[in-house]
Amino acid sequence: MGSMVIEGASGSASPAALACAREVEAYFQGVIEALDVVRSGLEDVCRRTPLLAADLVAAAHPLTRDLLAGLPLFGGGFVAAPGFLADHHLYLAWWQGEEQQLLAQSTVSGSGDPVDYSRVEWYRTPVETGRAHVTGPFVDYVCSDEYMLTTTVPVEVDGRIVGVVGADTLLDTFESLLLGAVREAGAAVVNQSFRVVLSADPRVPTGRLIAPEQRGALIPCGDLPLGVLVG
Amino acid sequence: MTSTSSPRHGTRTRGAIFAPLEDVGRAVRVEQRLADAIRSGVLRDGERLPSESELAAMLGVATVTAREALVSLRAQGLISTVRGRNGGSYVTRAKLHDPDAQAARLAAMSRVELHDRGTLHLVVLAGCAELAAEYADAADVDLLASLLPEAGDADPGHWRHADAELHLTLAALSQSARMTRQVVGLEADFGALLRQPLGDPEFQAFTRTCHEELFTALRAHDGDAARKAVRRQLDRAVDELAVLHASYR
Repeated sequence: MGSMVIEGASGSASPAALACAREVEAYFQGVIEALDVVRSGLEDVCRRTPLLAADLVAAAHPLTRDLLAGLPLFGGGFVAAPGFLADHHLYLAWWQGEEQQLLAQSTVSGSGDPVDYSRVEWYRTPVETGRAHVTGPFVDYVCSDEYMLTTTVPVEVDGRIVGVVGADTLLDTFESLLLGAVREAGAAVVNQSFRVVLSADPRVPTGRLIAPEQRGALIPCGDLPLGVLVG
Repeated sequence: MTSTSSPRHGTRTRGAIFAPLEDVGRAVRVEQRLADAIRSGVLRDGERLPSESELAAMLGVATVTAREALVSLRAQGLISTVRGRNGGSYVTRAKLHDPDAQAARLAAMSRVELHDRGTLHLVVLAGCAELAAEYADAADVDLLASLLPEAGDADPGHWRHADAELHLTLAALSQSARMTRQVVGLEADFGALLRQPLGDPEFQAFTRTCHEELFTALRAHDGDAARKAVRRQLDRAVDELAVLHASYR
Protein backbone atom coordinates (compact mmCIF):
# COMPACT_ATOMS: atom_id res chain seq x y z
CA MET A 1 0.00 0.00 0.00
CA GLY A 2 0.96 3.62 -0.35
CA SER A 3 2.81 2.89 -3.58
CA MET A 4 -0.03 4.14 -5.70
CA VAL A 5 1.21 7.00 -7.84
CA ILE A 6 -1.56 9.36 -8.74
CA GLU A 7 -0.61 11.03 -11.96
CA GLY A 8 -2.71 13.52 -13.82
CA ALA A 9 -5.44 15.57 -12.23
CA SER A 10 -8.96 14.19 -12.31
CA GLY A 11 -9.79 17.29 -14.34
CA SER A 12 -8.24 15.70 -17.43
CA ALA A 13 -10.12 12.42 -16.94
CA SER A 14 -13.24 11.73 -18.97
CA PRO A 15 -16.62 11.53 -17.22
CA ALA A 16 -16.81 7.87 -18.26
CA ALA A 17 -13.47 7.12 -16.55
CA LEU A 18 -14.59 8.91 -13.39
CA ALA A 19 -17.86 7.01 -13.44
CA CYS A 20 -15.97 3.73 -13.82
CA ALA A 21 -13.81 4.54 -10.78
CA ARG A 22 -16.94 5.40 -8.78
CA GLU A 23 -18.58 2.14 -9.82
CA VAL A 24 -15.59 0.06 -8.70
CA GLU A 25 -15.50 1.97 -5.42
CA ALA A 26 -19.24 1.51 -4.88
CA TYR A 27 -19.03 -2.23 -5.41
CA PHE A 28 -16.27 -2.74 -2.86
CA GLN A 29 -17.75 -0.24 -0.39
CA GLY A 30 -20.89 -2.41 -0.50
CA VAL A 31 -18.81 -5.48 0.31
CA ILE A 32 -16.97 -3.68 3.12
CA GLU A 33 -20.26 -2.48 4.66
CA ALA A 34 -21.64 -6.01 4.55
CA LEU A 35 -18.43 -7.28 6.17
CA ASP A 36 -18.80 -4.70 8.93
CA VAL A 37 -22.16 -6.30 9.78
CA VAL A 38 -20.46 -9.69 10.11
CA ARG A 39 -17.61 -8.17 12.12
CA SER A 40 -19.84 -6.49 14.69
CA GLY A 41 -22.02 -9.60 14.86
CA LEU A 42 -18.98 -11.63 15.89
CA GLU A 43 -17.69 -9.32 18.63
CA ASP A 44 -19.56 -11.05 21.46
CA VAL A 45 -18.48 -14.57 20.63
CA CYS A 46 -14.87 -13.35 20.22
CA ARG A 47 -14.86 -12.24 23.88
CA ARG A 48 -15.58 -15.79 25.08
CA THR A 49 -12.61 -17.60 26.64
CA PRO A 50 -11.70 -20.23 25.86
CA LEU A 51 -13.21 -19.87 22.40
CA LEU A 52 -13.65 -23.12 20.48
CA ALA A 53 -13.96 -23.50 16.71
CA ALA A 54 -17.46 -24.97 17.09
CA ASP A 55 -18.70 -21.85 18.94
CA LEU A 56 -17.16 -19.60 16.32
CA VAL A 57 -18.75 -21.61 13.50
CA ALA A 58 -22.16 -21.48 15.19
CA ALA A 59 -21.97 -17.68 15.47
CA ALA A 60 -20.40 -17.03 12.06
CA HIS A 61 -22.59 -19.33 9.97
CA PRO A 62 -25.86 -17.34 9.96
CA LEU A 63 -23.96 -14.05 9.54
CA THR A 64 -22.03 -15.44 6.57
CA ARG A 65 -25.19 -16.90 5.05
CA ASP A 66 -26.74 -13.42 5.03
CA LEU A 67 -23.54 -11.93 3.62
CA LEU A 68 -23.43 -14.42 0.73
CA ALA A 69 -27.16 -14.10 0.04
CA GLY A 70 -26.96 -10.31 -0.30
CA LEU A 71 -24.07 -9.94 -2.77
CA PRO A 72 -22.69 -11.83 -5.78
CA LEU A 73 -19.89 -13.42 -3.71
CA PHE A 74 -18.24 -16.81 -4.10
CA GLY A 75 -17.43 -17.23 -0.42
CA GLY A 76 -16.77 -15.49 2.85
CA GLY A 77 -16.43 -15.74 6.58
CA PHE A 78 -14.02 -15.21 9.45
CA VAL A 79 -10.36 -16.25 9.56
CA ALA A 80 -8.92 -16.53 13.06
CA ALA A 81 -5.59 -15.00 14.07
CA PRO A 82 -3.07 -17.81 14.64
CA GLY A 83 -3.46 -19.03 18.22
CA PHE A 84 -6.73 -17.16 18.86
CA LEU A 85 -8.89 -20.29 19.11
CA ALA A 86 -8.33 -22.67 22.00
CA ASP A 87 -8.60 -25.84 19.92
CA HIS A 88 -7.07 -24.94 16.52
CA HIS A 89 -3.93 -22.91 15.87
CA LEU A 90 -5.16 -21.97 12.38
CA TYR A 91 -8.84 -21.89 11.49
CA LEU A 92 -11.09 -20.60 8.73
CA ALA A 93 -14.81 -20.27 9.54
CA TRP A 94 -15.26 -19.75 5.82
CA TRP A 95 -18.08 -20.91 3.55
CA GLN A 96 -17.82 -21.06 -0.22
CA GLY A 97 -19.13 -22.45 -3.46
CA GLU A 98 -22.60 -23.32 -4.59
CA GLU A 99 -23.13 -25.61 -1.62
CA GLN A 100 -21.55 -23.15 0.81
CA GLN A 101 -19.17 -25.72 2.20
CA LEU A 102 -17.26 -24.99 5.39
CA LEU A 103 -13.51 -24.80 4.79
CA ALA A 104 -12.28 -25.13 8.43
CA GLN A 105 -8.65 -25.91 7.64
CA SER A 106 -6.58 -25.59 4.52
CA THR A 107 -3.67 -27.90 3.80
CA VAL A 108 -0.84 -27.89 1.31
CA SER A 109 -1.35 -30.60 -1.23
CA GLY A 110 1.68 -32.91 -1.24
CA SER A 111 2.73 -32.27 2.35
CA GLY A 112 -0.70 -32.37 4.03
CA ASP A 113 0.38 -29.66 6.49
CA PRO A 114 -1.85 -26.65 7.21
CA VAL A 115 -1.26 -23.50 5.18
CA ASP A 116 -0.02 -20.65 7.36
CA TYR A 117 -2.21 -17.90 5.94
CA SER A 118 -0.78 -15.24 8.26
CA ARG A 119 1.79 -14.20 5.64
CA VAL A 120 -0.54 -13.86 2.67
CA GLU A 121 -1.67 -10.43 1.60
CA TRP A 122 -5.40 -10.78 2.32
CA TYR A 123 -4.64 -11.64 5.94
CA ARG A 124 -1.48 -9.63 6.60
CA THR A 125 -2.36 -6.27 5.06
CA PRO A 126 -5.63 -5.51 6.94
CA VAL A 127 -4.03 -6.74 10.18
CA GLU A 128 -0.96 -4.52 9.70
CA THR A 129 -2.81 -1.41 8.54
CA GLY A 130 -5.96 -1.81 10.65
CA ARG A 131 -8.00 -1.03 7.53
CA ALA A 132 -10.10 -2.78 4.91
CA HIS A 133 -8.12 -4.15 1.98
CA VAL A 134 -8.79 -5.64 -1.43
CA THR A 135 -6.31 -8.32 -2.54
CA GLY A 136 -6.00 -9.48 -6.10
CA PRO A 137 -6.38 -10.46 -8.76
CA PHE A 138 -4.72 -13.63 -7.45
CA VAL A 139 -5.25 -17.38 -7.57
CA ASP A 140 -6.38 -18.20 -4.07
CA TYR A 141 -4.86 -21.59 -3.29
CA VAL A 142 -5.64 -21.31 0.43
CA CYS A 143 -9.43 -21.17 0.20
CA SER A 144 -11.07 -21.58 -3.16
CA ASP A 145 -8.52 -22.52 -5.85
CA GLU A 146 -10.18 -19.79 -7.92
CA TYR A 147 -9.09 -16.50 -9.47
CA MET A 148 -10.19 -13.95 -6.95
CA LEU A 149 -10.54 -10.46 -5.58
CA THR A 150 -10.66 -10.84 -1.81
CA THR A 151 -11.93 -8.08 0.46
CA THR A 152 -10.81 -8.35 4.08
CA VAL A 153 -11.49 -6.25 7.17
CA PRO A 154 -9.56 -6.63 10.44
CA VAL A 155 -11.51 -7.70 13.52
CA GLU A 156 -10.35 -6.02 16.70
CA VAL A 157 -11.86 -6.91 20.05
CA ASP A 158 -10.78 -5.10 23.24
CA GLY A 159 -7.70 -3.72 21.54
CA ARG A 160 -6.56 -7.05 20.16
CA ILE A 161 -6.67 -8.25 16.53
CA VAL A 162 -8.44 -11.62 16.61
CA GLY A 163 -8.66 -12.24 12.87
CA VAL A 164 -10.19 -10.90 9.68
CA VAL A 165 -13.62 -11.12 8.10
CA GLY A 166 -13.56 -11.43 4.35
CA ALA A 167 -15.46 -12.03 1.16
CA ASP A 168 -14.38 -13.43 -2.21
CA THR A 169 -15.46 -11.96 -5.52
CA LEU A 170 -14.64 -14.13 -8.54
CA LEU A 171 -12.86 -12.26 -11.34
CA ASP A 172 -15.55 -13.77 -13.59
CA THR A 173 -18.18 -11.93 -11.55
CA PHE A 174 -16.23 -8.69 -11.44
CA GLU A 175 -15.83 -8.85 -15.22
CA SER A 176 -19.55 -9.29 -15.78
CA LEU A 177 -20.35 -6.41 -13.41
CA LEU A 178 -17.77 -3.89 -14.60
CA LEU A 179 -16.92 -4.67 -18.23
CA GLY A 180 -19.52 -2.22 -19.52
CA ALA A 181 -18.14 0.68 -17.47
CA VAL A 182 -14.53 -0.23 -18.29
CA ARG A 183 -15.27 -0.32 -22.02
CA GLU A 184 -17.17 2.93 -21.84
CA ALA A 185 -14.13 4.50 -20.20
CA GLY A 186 -11.66 2.84 -22.58
CA ALA A 187 -9.57 2.24 -19.48
CA ALA A 188 -8.17 -0.48 -17.23
CA VAL A 189 -8.87 -1.13 -13.58
CA VAL A 190 -5.54 -1.88 -11.87
CA ASN A 191 -4.45 -2.65 -8.32
CA GLN A 192 -1.73 -0.88 -6.35
CA SER A 193 0.97 -2.92 -8.13
CA PHE A 194 -0.42 -1.80 -11.49
CA ARG A 195 -1.64 -5.34 -12.08
CA VAL A 196 -4.62 -5.41 -14.44
CA VAL A 197 -7.93 -6.30 -12.82
CA LEU A 198 -9.97 -5.67 -15.97
CA SER A 199 -9.03 -3.91 -19.19
CA ALA A 200 -11.07 -2.45 -22.02
CA ASP A 201 -8.38 -3.81 -24.37
CA PRO A 202 -9.29 -7.46 -25.03
CA ARG A 203 -5.61 -8.29 -25.65
CA VAL A 204 -4.60 -7.31 -22.11
CA PRO A 205 -5.50 -10.17 -19.80
CA THR A 206 -6.39 -9.86 -16.14
CA GLY A 207 -3.28 -10.38 -14.05
CA ARG A 208 -0.77 -8.67 -16.35
CA LEU A 209 1.54 -6.03 -14.88
CA ILE A 210 1.58 -2.66 -16.63
CA ALA A 211 5.18 -1.54 -17.13
CA PRO A 212 6.08 1.92 -15.71
CA GLU A 213 6.60 3.41 -19.17
CA GLN A 214 3.10 2.34 -20.23
CA ARG A 215 1.25 3.89 -17.32
CA GLY A 216 -1.04 6.81 -18.10
CA ALA A 217 -3.02 8.83 -15.61
CA LEU A 218 -4.54 7.04 -12.65
CA ILE A 219 -7.88 7.84 -11.07
CA PRO A 220 -8.04 6.38 -7.56
CA CYS A 221 -11.15 4.40 -6.53
CA GLY A 222 -11.68 6.20 -3.22
CA ASP A 223 -9.45 4.78 -0.46
CA LEU A 224 -9.27 1.37 -2.11
CA PRO A 225 -5.94 -0.01 -3.36
CA LEU A 226 -7.44 0.14 -6.85
CA GLY A 227 -7.49 2.71 -9.59
CA VAL A 228 -8.63 3.33 -13.14
CA LEU A 229 -5.77 3.76 -15.59
CA VAL A 230 -6.56 5.96 -18.59
CA GLY A 231 -4.54 6.76 -21.70
CA MET B 1 -8.01 -27.74 -0.68
CA THR B 2 -10.31 -29.05 -3.33
CA SER B 3 -9.94 -30.72 -6.70
CA THR B 4 -7.85 -33.79 -6.09
CA SER B 5 -7.09 -35.72 -9.21
CA SER B 6 -7.89 -39.37 -9.13
CA PRO B 7 -6.50 -42.09 -11.32
CA ARG B 8 -8.88 -42.95 -14.10
CA HIS B 9 -7.94 -46.28 -15.50
CA GLY B 10 -9.28 -47.72 -18.71
CA THR B 11 -11.60 -50.17 -17.01
CA ARG B 12 -13.06 -47.43 -14.87
CA THR B 13 -13.63 -45.19 -17.86
CA ARG B 14 -15.42 -48.02 -19.62
CA GLY B 15 -17.49 -48.67 -16.51
CA ALA B 16 -18.46 -44.99 -16.34
CA ILE B 17 -19.51 -44.96 -20.00
CA PHE B 18 -21.96 -47.78 -19.44
CA ALA B 19 -23.19 -46.74 -15.98
CA PRO B 20 -26.80 -45.58 -15.66
CA LEU B 21 -26.84 -41.94 -16.74
CA GLU B 22 -27.88 -40.36 -13.47
CA ASP B 23 -25.08 -42.19 -11.62
CA VAL B 24 -22.33 -41.01 -13.93
CA GLY B 25 -19.88 -38.95 -11.93
CA ARG B 26 -21.59 -39.57 -8.62
CA ALA B 27 -18.95 -41.97 -7.34
CA VAL B 28 -16.27 -39.45 -8.27
CA ARG B 29 -18.14 -36.71 -6.41
CA VAL B 30 -18.62 -38.89 -3.34
CA GLU B 31 -14.96 -39.86 -3.48
CA GLN B 32 -13.78 -36.25 -3.88
CA ARG B 33 -15.92 -35.04 -1.03
CA LEU B 34 -14.57 -37.69 1.31
CA ALA B 35 -10.98 -37.30 0.07
CA ASP B 36 -11.14 -33.54 0.65
CA ALA B 37 -12.53 -34.09 4.13
CA ILE B 38 -9.72 -36.52 4.96
CA ARG B 39 -6.92 -34.41 3.48
CA SER B 40 -8.16 -31.27 5.20
CA GLY B 41 -8.45 -33.09 8.53
CA VAL B 42 -12.23 -32.63 8.88
CA LEU B 43 -12.40 -36.41 9.11
CA ARG B 44 -9.80 -37.34 11.69
CA ASP B 45 -7.15 -39.99 11.50
CA GLY B 46 -8.52 -43.30 12.78
CA GLU B 47 -12.14 -42.15 12.52
CA ARG B 48 -14.56 -44.84 11.39
CA LEU B 49 -16.55 -44.07 8.27
CA PRO B 50 -20.20 -45.08 7.96
CA SER B 51 -20.78 -48.42 6.22
CA GLU B 52 -21.40 -48.65 2.48
CA SER B 53 -25.15 -48.82 2.92
CA GLU B 54 -25.21 -46.05 5.55
CA LEU B 55 -23.09 -43.81 3.30
CA ALA B 56 -25.33 -44.57 0.35
CA ALA B 57 -28.44 -43.64 2.34
CA MET B 58 -26.86 -40.46 3.77
CA LEU B 59 -25.65 -39.20 0.41
CA GLY B 60 -28.66 -40.41 -1.56
CA VAL B 61 -26.68 -42.61 -3.94
CA ALA B 62 -26.80 -46.30 -4.82
CA THR B 63 -24.84 -48.67 -2.58
CA VAL B 64 -22.72 -49.66 -5.56
CA THR B 65 -21.79 -46.00 -6.05
CA ALA B 66 -20.70 -45.64 -2.41
CA ARG B 67 -18.71 -48.85 -2.77
CA GLU B 68 -16.95 -47.55 -5.86
CA ALA B 69 -15.94 -44.36 -4.02
CA LEU B 70 -14.59 -46.37 -1.07
CA VAL B 71 -12.57 -48.62 -3.40
CA SER B 72 -10.92 -45.58 -4.90
CA LEU B 73 -10.18 -44.01 -1.50
CA ARG B 74 -8.61 -47.29 -0.43
CA ALA B 75 -6.45 -47.34 -3.57
CA GLN B 76 -5.24 -43.85 -2.68
CA GLY B 77 -4.34 -45.03 0.82
CA LEU B 78 -6.75 -42.59 2.44
CA ILE B 79 -8.81 -45.27 4.18
CA SER B 80 -8.15 -48.83 5.22
CA THR B 81 -10.75 -51.50 5.65
CA VAL B 82 -10.76 -53.92 8.55
CA ARG B 83 -12.82 -57.10 8.43
CA GLY B 84 -14.59 -58.77 11.35
CA ARG B 85 -16.88 -57.66 14.16
CA ASN B 86 -15.30 -54.23 14.61
CA GLY B 87 -14.73 -54.05 10.90
CA GLY B 88 -15.35 -51.10 8.66
CA SER B 89 -13.47 -48.37 6.86
CA TYR B 90 -11.12 -46.16 8.87
CA VAL B 91 -9.46 -42.89 7.92
CA THR B 92 -5.70 -43.34 7.55
CA ARG B 93 -4.59 -39.76 7.22
CA ALA B 94 -1.33 -40.56 9.03
CA LYS B 95 -0.26 -42.49 5.96
CA LEU B 96 0.06 -39.21 4.12
CA HIS B 97 3.26 -38.73 6.15
CA ASP B 98 4.26 -42.31 6.91
CA PRO B 99 7.74 -43.01 5.44
CA ASP B 100 7.01 -46.76 5.25
CA ALA B 101 3.88 -46.12 3.21
CA GLN B 102 5.86 -43.83 0.90
CA ALA B 103 8.61 -46.42 0.55
CA ALA B 104 6.03 -49.09 -0.25
CA ARG B 105 4.42 -46.87 -2.85
CA LEU B 106 7.76 -46.12 -4.44
CA ALA B 107 8.77 -49.79 -4.45
CA ALA B 108 5.52 -50.71 -6.19
CA MET B 109 6.23 -48.24 -8.99
CA SER B 110 8.12 -49.12 -12.12
CA ARG B 111 11.11 -47.04 -13.20
CA VAL B 112 9.12 -46.02 -16.27
CA GLU B 113 6.22 -44.77 -14.15
CA LEU B 114 8.56 -42.80 -11.92
CA HIS B 115 10.11 -40.96 -14.86
CA ASP B 116 6.71 -40.55 -16.47
CA ARG B 117 5.35 -38.76 -13.39
CA GLY B 118 8.61 -36.83 -12.98
CA THR B 119 8.36 -35.52 -16.56
CA LEU B 120 4.81 -34.26 -16.14
CA HIS B 121 5.74 -32.53 -12.88
CA LEU B 122 8.79 -30.95 -14.44
CA VAL B 123 7.14 -29.61 -17.58
CA VAL B 124 4.19 -28.13 -15.70
CA LEU B 125 6.25 -26.45 -12.98
CA ALA B 126 8.92 -25.16 -15.35
CA GLY B 127 6.10 -23.65 -17.41
CA CYS B 128 4.61 -22.05 -14.29
CA ALA B 129 8.03 -20.56 -13.48
CA GLU B 130 8.33 -19.06 -16.96
CA LEU B 131 4.90 -17.40 -16.69
CA ALA B 132 5.53 -16.33 -13.10
CA ALA B 133 8.61 -14.42 -14.29
CA GLU B 134 6.29 -12.34 -16.43
CA TYR B 135 3.53 -11.86 -13.88
CA ALA B 136 5.22 -11.72 -10.45
CA ASP B 137 5.96 -8.42 -8.77
CA ALA B 138 8.50 -7.82 -6.00
CA ALA B 139 6.00 -8.56 -3.20
CA ASP B 140 5.11 -11.90 -4.81
CA VAL B 141 8.78 -12.90 -4.89
CA ASP B 142 9.26 -11.76 -1.28
CA LEU B 143 6.41 -14.06 -0.25
CA LEU B 144 7.95 -16.98 -2.16
CA ALA B 145 11.36 -16.33 -0.59
CA SER B 146 9.84 -16.19 2.91
CA LEU B 147 8.69 -19.80 2.48
CA LEU B 148 12.26 -21.20 2.45
CA PRO B 149 13.37 -22.69 5.79
CA GLU B 150 15.84 -20.59 7.79
CA ALA B 151 19.55 -21.22 7.29
CA GLY B 152 20.57 -24.08 9.58
CA ASP B 153 17.11 -25.65 9.63
CA ALA B 154 17.61 -29.21 8.38
CA ASP B 155 14.27 -30.62 9.55
CA PRO B 156 12.99 -32.81 6.66
CA GLY B 157 9.36 -32.02 7.53
CA HIS B 158 9.99 -28.27 7.32
CA TRP B 159 11.76 -28.67 3.99
CA ARG B 160 9.06 -30.85 2.47
CA HIS B 161 6.29 -28.53 3.58
CA ALA B 162 8.17 -25.41 2.41
CA ASP B 163 8.94 -26.95 -0.98
CA ALA B 164 5.32 -28.04 -1.51
CA GLU B 165 3.97 -24.62 -0.57
CA LEU B 166 6.57 -22.96 -2.78
CA HIS B 167 5.47 -24.96 -5.82
CA LEU B 168 1.82 -24.21 -5.15
CA THR B 169 2.54 -20.50 -4.76
CA LEU B 170 4.60 -20.53 -7.95
CA ALA B 171 1.70 -22.15 -9.80
CA ALA B 172 -0.67 -19.46 -8.50
CA LEU B 173 1.66 -16.79 -9.90
CA SER B 174 0.78 -18.03 -13.39
CA GLN B 175 -2.53 -16.17 -12.71
CA SER B 176 -4.41 -19.25 -13.93
CA ALA B 177 -6.78 -21.02 -11.57
CA ARG B 178 -6.90 -24.08 -13.81
CA MET B 179 -3.10 -24.32 -13.84
CA THR B 180 -3.05 -24.03 -10.06
CA ARG B 181 -5.64 -26.79 -9.65
CA GLN B 182 -3.59 -28.94 -12.01
CA VAL B 183 -0.56 -28.49 -9.77
CA VAL B 184 -2.68 -29.22 -6.66
CA GLY B 185 -3.61 -32.52 -8.32
CA LEU B 186 -0.01 -33.30 -9.28
CA GLU B 187 1.15 -32.52 -5.76
CA ALA B 188 -1.46 -34.78 -4.20
CA ASP B 189 -0.39 -37.52 -6.57
CA PHE B 190 3.40 -37.38 -6.61
CA GLY B 191 4.51 -34.51 -4.36
CA ALA B 192 5.13 -36.57 -1.22
CA LEU B 193 7.33 -39.02 -3.14
CA LEU B 194 9.24 -36.35 -5.00
CA ARG B 195 10.16 -34.77 -1.66
CA GLN B 196 11.58 -37.91 -0.09
CA PRO B 197 15.14 -36.82 -1.08
CA LEU B 198 14.67 -33.60 0.91
CA GLY B 199 15.62 -35.53 4.06
CA ASP B 200 19.26 -35.23 2.93
CA PRO B 201 20.96 -31.97 4.09
CA GLU B 202 23.13 -31.90 0.98
CA PHE B 203 20.08 -32.02 -1.25
CA GLN B 204 18.46 -29.37 0.94
CA ALA B 205 21.44 -27.09 0.27
CA PHE B 206 21.20 -27.78 -3.47
CA THR B 207 17.47 -27.05 -3.38
CA ARG B 208 18.10 -23.77 -1.56
CA THR B 209 20.57 -22.71 -4.25
CA CYS B 210 18.10 -23.55 -7.04
CA HIS B 211 15.22 -21.74 -5.34
CA GLU B 212 17.40 -18.67 -4.79
CA GLU B 213 18.29 -18.72 -8.48
CA LEU B 214 14.58 -18.88 -9.19
CA PHE B 215 13.85 -15.85 -6.99
CA THR B 216 16.61 -13.86 -8.72
CA ALA B 217 15.22 -14.82 -12.14
CA LEU B 218 11.67 -13.86 -11.12
CA ARG B 219 12.84 -10.48 -9.83
CA ALA B 220 14.61 -9.88 -13.15
CA HIS B 221 11.51 -11.02 -15.09
CA ASP B 222 13.80 -13.54 -16.79
CA GLY B 223 11.55 -16.42 -17.86
CA ASP B 224 14.34 -18.57 -19.30
CA ALA B 225 16.41 -18.42 -16.13
CA ALA B 226 13.31 -19.13 -13.99
CA ARG B 227 12.48 -22.19 -16.07
CA LYS B 228 16.07 -23.43 -15.84
CA ALA B 229 16.24 -23.01 -12.05
CA VAL B 230 13.07 -25.07 -11.52
CA ARG B 231 14.20 -27.66 -14.01
CA ARG B 232 17.60 -28.04 -12.33
CA GLN B 233 16.01 -28.69 -8.93
CA LEU B 234 13.38 -31.11 -10.22
CA ASP B 235 15.82 -33.01 -12.46
CA ARG B 236 18.01 -33.69 -9.47
CA ALA B 237 14.99 -34.58 -7.27
CA VAL B 238 13.89 -37.18 -9.83
CA ASP B 239 17.48 -38.50 -10.07
CA GLU B 240 17.72 -38.88 -6.30
CA LEU B 241 14.32 -40.53 -6.19
CA ALA B 242 15.33 -42.93 -8.96
CA VAL B 243 18.44 -43.95 -7.02
CA LEU B 244 16.31 -44.49 -3.90
CA HIS B 245 13.85 -46.46 -6.02
CA ALA B 246 16.64 -48.69 -7.38
CA SER B 247 17.71 -49.49 -3.81
CA TYR B 248 14.25 -50.95 -3.09
CA ARG B 249 14.19 -53.29 -6.05
